[in-house]
Amino acid sequence: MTVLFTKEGCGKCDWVKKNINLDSIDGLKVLQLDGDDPEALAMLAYYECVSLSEKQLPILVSENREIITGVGHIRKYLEGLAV
Amino acid sequence: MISLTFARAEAPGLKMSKKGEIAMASLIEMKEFKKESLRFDETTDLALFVRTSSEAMDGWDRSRIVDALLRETFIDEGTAEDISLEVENDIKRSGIKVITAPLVREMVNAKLIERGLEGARRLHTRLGVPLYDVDQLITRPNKENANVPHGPEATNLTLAENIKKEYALLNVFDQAVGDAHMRGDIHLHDLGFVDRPYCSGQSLEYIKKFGLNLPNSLAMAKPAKHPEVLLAHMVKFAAALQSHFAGAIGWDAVNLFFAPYLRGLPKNEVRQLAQMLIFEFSQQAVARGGQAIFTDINLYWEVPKHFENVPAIGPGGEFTGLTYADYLPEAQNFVWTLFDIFREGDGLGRPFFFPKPLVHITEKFFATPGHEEFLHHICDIATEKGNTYYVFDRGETAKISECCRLSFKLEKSDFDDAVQPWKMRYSAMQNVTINLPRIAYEARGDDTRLFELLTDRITLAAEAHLQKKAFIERLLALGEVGPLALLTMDRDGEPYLRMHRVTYLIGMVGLNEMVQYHTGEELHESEDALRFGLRVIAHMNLVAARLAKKHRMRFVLEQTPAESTAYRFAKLDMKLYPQAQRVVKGNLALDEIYYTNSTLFNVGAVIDPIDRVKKEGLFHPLIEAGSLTHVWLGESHPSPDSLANFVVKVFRMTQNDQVAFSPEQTTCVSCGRTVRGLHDACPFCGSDKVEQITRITGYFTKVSSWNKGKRGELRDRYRNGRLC
Repeated sequence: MTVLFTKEGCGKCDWVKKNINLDSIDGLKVLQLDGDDPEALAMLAYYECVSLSEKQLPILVSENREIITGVGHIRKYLEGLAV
Repeated sequence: MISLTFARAEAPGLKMSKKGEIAMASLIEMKEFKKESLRFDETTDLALFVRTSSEAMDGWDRSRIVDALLRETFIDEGTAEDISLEVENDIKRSGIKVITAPLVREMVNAKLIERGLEGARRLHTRLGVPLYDVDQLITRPNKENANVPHGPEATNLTLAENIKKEYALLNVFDQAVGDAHMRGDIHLHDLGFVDRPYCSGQSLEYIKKFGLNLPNSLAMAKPAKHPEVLLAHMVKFAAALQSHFAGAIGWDAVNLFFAPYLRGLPKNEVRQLAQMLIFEFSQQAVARGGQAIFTDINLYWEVPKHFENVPAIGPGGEFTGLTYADYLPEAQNFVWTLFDIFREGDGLGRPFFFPKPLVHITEKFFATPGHEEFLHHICDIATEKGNTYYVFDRGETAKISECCRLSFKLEKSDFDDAVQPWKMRYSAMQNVTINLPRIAYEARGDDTRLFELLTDRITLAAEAHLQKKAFIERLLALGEVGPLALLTMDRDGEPYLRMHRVTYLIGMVGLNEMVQYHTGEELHESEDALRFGLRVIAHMNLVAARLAKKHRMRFVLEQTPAESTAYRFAKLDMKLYPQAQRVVKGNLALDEIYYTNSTLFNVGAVIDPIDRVKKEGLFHPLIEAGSLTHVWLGESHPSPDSLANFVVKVFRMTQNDQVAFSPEQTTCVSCGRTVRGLHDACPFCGSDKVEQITRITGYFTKVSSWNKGKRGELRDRYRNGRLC
């Protein structure tokens, strides 16, 4: 499973959602880190990204648990999955 | 016989026959006779003495009952008078000649209950301890806190705590909160210290700058000019702080702030100072109940970034003209020497129980020359004696740590304060811990129900915090003449206790057992179990954050040390929830039962230590107020190099907040030798007069002082023979 962590009000997260067809990517789970979803926060902790998320979002965790940040890198990776 | 005229006057307008009038007169006469017999002529001989609580023998005075009721409750004077008459009559009928004030009070309370005046009865309650219990307390040790030795001061502490606990549950916390505590849904820590905040962290800079000028002190001292005087001030201030906080007293960057006083000192004097510091904090049995001052000293190899350009305060409280960055050599020499003393141990070679040295490992640490040798040095002490705590401040994080894991994460405003380091004072007001396994029993396998109950318990914990806060604020408002005068002193223009920086802790016990009951697997047994556990703590984190926003209070999660709470919850649950048997840990037959502390994995699980550190560390970023992983060493004696490698791995490859390595030792009281491992008899001389020593939750102490739950846990601990 590939997981994309986003947050409301995060401009870069919004850009990714708008410019990449996330629905077309198999096995991609998009999680929103708002105050009401413990599942999302728990996953973030599971992937050891809690501190990272305080500095930057979005964060992509690949199936082999590679952590990818930066909109450009995320886009490239996801477009690779979509092909 | 009362006249018929009077009888008619009693019932005007009522047409009665002559027989009726006589009957009425008799009835009135009986009523008058009863009133007469109830009222004692105060000049006559109710020769009764009352042993009062002010240690006097007073003559009987019924009006004192009335006075007390009017002063303490809301009942009217008429009712108070009636009650006092009834009690007086009961006493007269009993024929007793000497009575105690407590007994009179209880007789009054019985009358209040008879009248359905429960609220008044509560207000009129006397707090206290039965004679039998006092006798037991004086003669037998109390094992609730392994740090408190058995002695007269400890007994005073326990008795006072008992009264304050009752007071807290009756008068500080409301019935919902009090009942939840009594049932075991939550645990209100340190109820016996309800009139104080919990723990605190501060800076030596405060006494360096302002000297020692404490409220109610018989003498005032100007800022120290010499390092040994600074040390004396530090110890005295710590002792004073101990009597105003329930828990640990932490000191930030101790080696750095001593450094300006050490410039030019020969090595032997620095060593002497280091020795004095450690022995002072180990042996000052002046804190609560005669225990040593629970002290944490935060130590750095480097100069923390936020102190680099801060003007240094030196002898006499004067700025030296240099910044703290300029005192790096002195700071490093001092911390190295402190660890030399820790390595030697006390007069018998035993590990020092206090102060606890917390070394901060940061990115800058690894960039500071000499760090490898220093890491080896502190790892040498860790494997030899176990003292060293490793606090991992990754990225831009900085913390002041204290207690066994409580820490205050510094925020931007704190870094602004760092320019005036004496302002860096932080406190936790209270800890309220949630009984997690119980929630699982009540949820009966239903996820939704489980999270609902969890939310309810956290909300209740928040209510408890609100009530404690209100109580402490009431005491603080009394200012210099109040009981918390020290916390209101404002040498720097701000009260010592900075309420805007106070945290309110929500702790947890038994996550492992909760997950085990709910999912069928313990945290270490599967990824699903681990992720469910993370979901529970994530849920707690988010609820705490919501409540923090709602109440504008800093509710944060803390890994409760749970020295006695883990035992208490297990015992209560075994009584009330038969299903608890399936998950409670320890030895049921010996009543040495416990729940696993906070978010820790089963202490007996055979897990590679780096795996344990890594997986337990997954929870740490969700627990803002501090977490710790124990690596139990038992008899094993890993090399300093292997420990150092381990520490570096933990910093680089995990999210773990803090790690401590815990060896076990036995000291023979007869021949004075100390040997590795826990032994019932001395392997050298054969004596059975031995002291077994290891870490209980977050500090070293003698196993003989541990409660049953902790002893059960000790038996179960998996000792790591190898670190890698």
